[in-house]
Amino acid sequence: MNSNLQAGAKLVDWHLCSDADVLSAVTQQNQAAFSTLVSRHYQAVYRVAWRACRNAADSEDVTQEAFLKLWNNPAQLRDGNALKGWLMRVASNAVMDRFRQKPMQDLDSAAHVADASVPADVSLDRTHVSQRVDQAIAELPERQRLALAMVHFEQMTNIAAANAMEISVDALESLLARARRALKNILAQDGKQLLAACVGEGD
Amino acid sequence: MEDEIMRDDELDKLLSNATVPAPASGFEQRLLVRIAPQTLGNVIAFPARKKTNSWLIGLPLAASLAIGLWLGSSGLDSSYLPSSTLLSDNSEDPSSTSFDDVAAFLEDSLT
Repeated sequence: MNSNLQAGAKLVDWHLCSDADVLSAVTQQNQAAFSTLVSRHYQAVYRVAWRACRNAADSEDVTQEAFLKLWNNPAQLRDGNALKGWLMRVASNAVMDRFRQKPMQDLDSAAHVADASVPADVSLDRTHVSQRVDQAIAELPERQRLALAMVHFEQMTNIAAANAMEISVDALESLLARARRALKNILAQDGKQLLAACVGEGD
Repeated sequence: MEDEIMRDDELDKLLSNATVPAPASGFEQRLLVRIAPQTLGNVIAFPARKKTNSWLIGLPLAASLAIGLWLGSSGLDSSYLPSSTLLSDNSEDPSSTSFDDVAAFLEDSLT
């Protein structure tokens, strides 16, 4: 397959190929192949980065950093089928580096959720629920946010997420358990109202 | 069993309402634009180096080396260096200051 790809690279529809095959073309500095990998994975990487960074500008930078690292040295990724996990790892490391350098700015929507608690007599709509949940996630420590983003929101397996975060599966499960416990505590005050809003809008 | 603040399925229901962030439009294009100059930048065209007559530099250097070797072998260099005798004389100079002089100086300044 790889030799066929290299022989007729311009004729290949990269979208039909596996990550490993496309990656082998990227090592030849094939921009079309790289573009395919970007369109395949950039949204997932961006979402995880956004959960951790909590703002669009930093998330975009982190995502670009991950893909530029792939473009500049694709050979460092040995197993092409593990590309998504590798990108997540690079993005996670970039996020952690940024946390060390400077505290992240607050959520893009922070202005809307400055007052996190909701008065009892106020009926909530879905937007308020989203903002309240985002705010609760934002209050978690960054590693718990990363774990939650990968496993809960991106449906990565525990093993893949643990590899991406370069921790053991046990450590990842511990992070997830702590994250969920913390979220329950944070959302406990408005929990019934938030759930009622979810049900009220058709759930 | 301890009564939970919130059940797991309730938390999952709330989490399903979390914002799904999406990159701003044009993100993919901006990224691909960023790699384009890097591709070109991998090859840096340096200007051609000017050819110089290397013997014009080499000749004085060789002459300097030869003179140095000749001076070293003929012993003429010793006249340009301070003698070891002079150095030892300096170390025994009674006028040179020492720790004892500091104590004497302090006594003088107090009286």
